[in-house]
Formats: sequence, C-alpha cells, structure tokens
Amino acid sequence: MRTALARIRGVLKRTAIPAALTGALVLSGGGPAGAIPQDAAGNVTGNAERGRPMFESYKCYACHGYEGETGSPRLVPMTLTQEAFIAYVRSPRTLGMPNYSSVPVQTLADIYAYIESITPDAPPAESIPLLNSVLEELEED
Amino acid sequence: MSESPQDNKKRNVPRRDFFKSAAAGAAAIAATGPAETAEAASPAPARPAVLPPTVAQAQAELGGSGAQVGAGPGRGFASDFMVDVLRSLDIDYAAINPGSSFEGIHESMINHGGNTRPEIITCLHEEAAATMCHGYAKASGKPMMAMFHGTVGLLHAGMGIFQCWADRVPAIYLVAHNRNPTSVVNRPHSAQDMGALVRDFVKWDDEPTTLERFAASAVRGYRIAMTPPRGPVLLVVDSGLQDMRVEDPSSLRIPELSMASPPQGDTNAVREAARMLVDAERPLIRLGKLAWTSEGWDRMIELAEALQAPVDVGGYGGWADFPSRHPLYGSGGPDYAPDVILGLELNDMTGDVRRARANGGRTIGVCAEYLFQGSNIHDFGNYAELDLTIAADGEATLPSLIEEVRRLTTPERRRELEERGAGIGRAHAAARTAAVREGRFGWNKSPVSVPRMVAELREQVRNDDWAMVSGYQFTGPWQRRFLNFDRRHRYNGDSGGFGIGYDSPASVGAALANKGTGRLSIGIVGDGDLNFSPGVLWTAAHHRIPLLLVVHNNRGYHAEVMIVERVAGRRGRGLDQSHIGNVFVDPEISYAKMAEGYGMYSEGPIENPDDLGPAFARALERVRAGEPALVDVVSQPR
Ligand SMILES: Cc1ncc(C[n+]2csc(CCOP(=O)(O)OP(=O)(O)O)c2C)c(N)n1
Ligand SMILES: [Mg+2]
Repeated sequence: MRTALARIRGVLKRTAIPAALTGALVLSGGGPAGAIPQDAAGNVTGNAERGRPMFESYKCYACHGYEGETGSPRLVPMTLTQEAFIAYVRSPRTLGMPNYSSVPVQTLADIYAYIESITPDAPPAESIPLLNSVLEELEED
Repeated sequence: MSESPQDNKKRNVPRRDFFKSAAAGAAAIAATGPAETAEAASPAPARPAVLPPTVAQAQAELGGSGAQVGAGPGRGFASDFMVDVLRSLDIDYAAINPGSSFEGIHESMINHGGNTRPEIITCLHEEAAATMCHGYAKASGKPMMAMFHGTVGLLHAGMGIFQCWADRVPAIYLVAHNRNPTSVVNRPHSAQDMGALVRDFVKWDDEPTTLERFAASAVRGYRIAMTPPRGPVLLVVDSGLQDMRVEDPSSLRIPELSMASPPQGDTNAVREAARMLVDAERPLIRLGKLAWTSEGWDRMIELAEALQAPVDVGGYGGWADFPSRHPLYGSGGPDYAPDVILGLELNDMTGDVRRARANGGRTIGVCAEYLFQGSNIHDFGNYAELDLTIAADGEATLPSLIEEVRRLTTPERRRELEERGAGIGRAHAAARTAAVREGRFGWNKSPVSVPRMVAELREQVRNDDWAMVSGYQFTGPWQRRFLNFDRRHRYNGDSGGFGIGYDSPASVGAALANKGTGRLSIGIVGDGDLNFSPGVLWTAAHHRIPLLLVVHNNRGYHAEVMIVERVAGRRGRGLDQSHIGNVFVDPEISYAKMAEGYGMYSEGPIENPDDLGPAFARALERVRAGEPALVDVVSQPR
C-alpha cells in the first residue's frame, strides 16, 4: 500500500518521462515496423513493467484511477483486445478522452500489458458490509 | 497570543503593556473629547522630535470620519438606526471583514444592537463572507448579510457575489465608502459609483443618501432579493451618513416589509403544458433550481407521480429537488428518448431543445428567469428555442400544473401512465443497483477510492438527520448512489457559476443556518476548493459552527490535469507534461495541519482506507457536540 502511494508521489513530481524511458520510446517510435517486437501472429507485444510508468506519465490515472480501477470508465478488468485498445486511444470517440495518436504503438501495447496485469481489487459487493447495506436499503425501497 | 518571551524582550514595551496603555489612552480621549480641545486647554509642552498624532489625524489616516465621540442620552447615531432597520428584516447574521468605511455600523451592531440579530460573523476574506451568505440562504430559506470595506473589500467579495447571483440566491450585501474622502487611505476605498464594480452581477443596487432613504432601500432591497428570480442586492452606504447624530430617533420610521407574491404561470399556458405532458409518450422532467421550501419538494413528487414521468435532476448546477431513491428519479433508462421535455427552473435548456428535436420532440420551460435577465455576464449566449416558454416561478406554478394534469388524465390514460411509470421504475432500480456494485472496484486501494470515502461516511451518518451542504463537484455521483437524499435539506445545491472556492465557505454558511436545528452538516470539498478561502476554517471554529468538512484530497486540480491532457493529445505533443501547473505535491499540503492551525479539530491526512471509518467517527463526535471538524482524505483523483 505504501509503495503504491510513494510511487504516485513520484509520478506527480516528475516533470517528464524519465530519460531512460524516452530512449526506449525513440527506438520503438516511428521506426520501421521490424523494430517493434511482435508475437507469432504479428501483434505487437507489450511489456507490463515498461507500461506502468507510461500509464502514469500519460495521465491515464487522472480519469481511470492510479491503478485503472477507480474513476470512469474503469479499465480493470480490461475488456478490449489490444488491437481495439490501441485503435481507440489513437482515435477516441468521446470528447473526454485525449487523443494518443502521437504515442508510439509499442508504448500503447506496453500500457495495455500493464492494465491487463492488474489484478482487480474488487471483492463482491455483498461481501463488503458498507456496500451490502446500501444494496439492502435499495431492496427495501 | 502565543508570543515567546524572547519576542517581548526585543521590544522596549512588552506587547501586553502596550495594549494596556493604548486602552488607557483611548479612555482618556473618550473622556476629554477631541484632542485638539485638550491641546488648546493645556500649556504647550516641550516639543518632542516626533509628535504623536492628534485624534483627528489618526482617524483621518485610518480612514475614519473624525466624528466626535459619545452620544448624549436620548440621542443616537444614524448607524444605530441602520442596525434597527436590519433587525426589522429579521437578519440573523452579518459576515464581515472589518473596514473603517463601515466602522459606524460595525460599532452600532456591537454597542447598540448587542451583537445579536444581526450577530457579527468574523471572516478572514470577503469572498468567504459573500459565499457564506450564499450557502446560508439556500439552507435557511432567508438571506443573511455581509458588509464590505469600500472598493478593496467589495472587489475581494466579487467572486462570491457573482456565484450567488448566478445561482439566483438572495443575499443582502452592504458596502461602505466615504462620499467625501479626506485621506490618502480612504480615497482609494471610495468611488464615484461604488455599485458599478459589481453591478453586472447583483439584481439591484442603490446608494441611499439620507437615513429615511436607507430604511426604504433596505426594505425594498430585501423584497427585490426575495422575489423570483431571487438574487443578491447591494446597498452602498456613506460613512459620513453612518456617523450622523440623530437628535430624535422617534422621528425616524422603518417602512413595513411587503413581500411580493411569486409569479405563477398564465392559466392558458399552464393548461397547454399539461396537455402536452399528459399526451406525451415519453415525457421527461428536468430540474434546475426549483424548491425553496419543503412544500415545493413535495409538490414536485406529486407532479412526477401524476405524470409517471422520470425526473432528471442533472449533475452539476441544479439543486436536485427530487428524492434520489424515488422510482422515477433518473432519466428513464438507456432507451428512453423523450418526446416532451419539461424544464422547471432550468435556465439553460439549449441542450434539451437539441435533444428533443432530434427525436421530433418538443420542449417546455417554466422559469422565473424569463422575467428578469442581467445584461452582461448572466447566462451569456443562452437562447433556447422552446416550444412553450412560461415566464413564471416553477415552484409557484406547480400547484396549478398538477391540477391541470390531473384534470386531463382520464382513468384509462391513468392506467397507461402507471404502466409506463412501473417500467421506468424497474429500469431505474436495475441501474441503481448496478451503480452501487461499481463501488467495490479498488475498495482497498490507497489512496482511498472516492466510493470508499463516501461509503465510509454514509455508514457513520446514516442515522443522523444529515445535510450535504457542499456542491455536487467531483464526488457527487457517488454521494447520489450511496446516500438517500430523501428531503429538501439533504442537498444544498451548487456554486451557480462553476467557480471553485465556493464549497468550503458555502458549507460553513449553510452549517451556520443549520446550527441548532438538529441537522448534521457535511461538506465534501476539493483540496483545490479549500485553498481559495482556508481562513473560513477559523470562522467555523471561532463561531462554533458544527460542520464535518471532508477534504477530497487528490493533491491538485485534477479536473485541469485531464483538460490539459486533452489539449496536448489534440496537438500531438507533451502528453506526459499535463500535471505542470495542476498538482500540489512539492511540497504536499496537509489540510489536517491547516485546520489545526486555525483551531479546528482535524484528522488525517488519511491514506489507508481502513483508518477512515474510525477517523470519521472521532470527527463526528466533535461535530455532534457542536464544533466543526475536518478529515483530510488522500484520495484517488476521481
Ligand atoms: C475560481 C475558479 N478558478 C479556476 C477554475 C478552473 N477549475 C475547474 S475545476 C478546477 C480544479 C478544482 O480542484 P479541486 O477542488 O481540488 O477538485 P479536483 O478536480 O481536484 O477533484 C479548477 C481549477 C474554476 N472553475 N474556478
Ligand atoms: Mg483536487
């Protein structure tokens, strides 16, 4: 718990993506398709570890929560395929969602991998007494 | 107060002794009259290098009027009468930040009025004073007053006055200045046309030049403020006028207050509206700022039930005058495309018109604002092409509209409407339950999720007669999902002008109105919001205003992070930079310590969600005992 918060502090203080990470981005950026890691089916393969700081730096947390679970819309559990996710964030259909078309495909695949790696912290509502009591109240109405 | 001994040693005169001698000096002046007279009567002393100022000089420098001290028996001062006028209007509180331009009224409130009705509420910023009036009026149904120093105080107050106006809430604002300024200090605090500074966002302003005119203007201003569409009024008072002697107070008369009845919709127009609504297949009622009274709240339920139509209270901006657990609360479900939209006290229906027309539908607006519009910054650019425009007060028009709807509803139509209502109720119930379940995501996360924060709070107050006195802002949807807003006083509306900085002082103002009523006032405010007028925490502590203030501390202006990110995305650059100018992290701000510094009980910063329930419980113990308390919750952004 502490580390999550400490990390968030770091994110908010950071003024730009760390140089080490930007280097990786430049390499994977607009370069030839061959430079981008792909799986057997020709899909770009993402790296969750690289994706986490990108998720934070690109302010995904501002609407979707520090770990993609709060805010709206919720990203965890992820319901889109990687392809649909990348297509969407590069050309969003809602006004609220920023356009990430300038972000390299590899980085978006990394962010996708990170979101997919998050285990939801979502006990059933009925098992949470505070929520269950609201549900009970609704049933009475 | 807590000066260290070292500080005292540094000075020749210890601070406490200075106050003693200053008080003795003041007493001597009071006893002898103006210093000039005293000087003339005594032999000339050897002149010191630096002369102490004369009373006249000192008063002129401080911006005072230089009037003589001490009224004889049976005589009074004009400002005493002014206080009597304010009392006649049943004004309980006057929020002030002091200034010499209104020293006369200030002193009269204390020594003539005994500091009751109005009781002085000490504010550390005029915006807080103006905004307290805003929150207070909505919670109590009647205005309180605030008093500002010429120019400087009024400009500080401007933002609070503007939002009160934009929210159509009554307040009595008073500003004073010197019509005949005499010094380098009071000249900038005076103006040829003081009201002009805020005229664009008060309903009416006046500068009465005599005492009789002051009385008439105050009473008239009260009526103007309270006549729909309600709004703040401003009285400009000359400091010389305040200081005039009144030889025979009995010669002065306070006019009786005669309130105007609120405008009701024209009979034929109301009949036409009822016909459109009863015939509609999918009517939708949208609410703005409707119910001033709990009767209005009850009437609104009657109308919705008579029509079996969904009631959409909106998010930001409105007052949400409909029970949040009523089966008709909502917008009818995902597939409900309204063919008639009725807006009640909804000043901007441009979006509704677009929406209705897209389905070939029609729109009706009942709003007092069609009767009165400011010219400059009032709903700038808002013209809605309504099919039926009724210039009348929504709340006052409800009874006749309900009656017409009932008259036009045949038993057969009634059965159809009930069937429709039952379907809407089922759709709403399903959506409501699903929305509550959403709260479980990130339940144990730190920083604390917004639903967790609201659910922990609900648990602590569910058996209280609570009142949410802050606006909808950024936690509103979760409040609506978890808490049962089943009475008019459960929610006190929003800022009106979408200006940040409203929630904290408005919460204190509304809590002042709720003090002594048995209601438990709760404000959930953004960290950004609280930073505009943090001094209001001291006001709450000093005046023992019971209020639980919860800080939704997401360490910055998160709304703006998202906005800058969107622009960067559009422009395809710097998508990792949008926190610049938008976050408070280096250093972090502790709102718990801030509250402590202002003398208010506080808890936090709380980062672990499991600590939240007990912290709320401890804070609420204080609030229930009559004090304010603050809980600083480090939370997820949204
Ligand atoms: C007086 C004023 N200044 C600036 C803004 C722009 N603004 C809109 S939302 C917002 C952020 C408010 O911060 P906070 O209250 O902490 O809410 P958060 O978005 O962080 O939840 C700002 C600065 C405004 N609406 N009003
Ligand atoms: Mg904030």
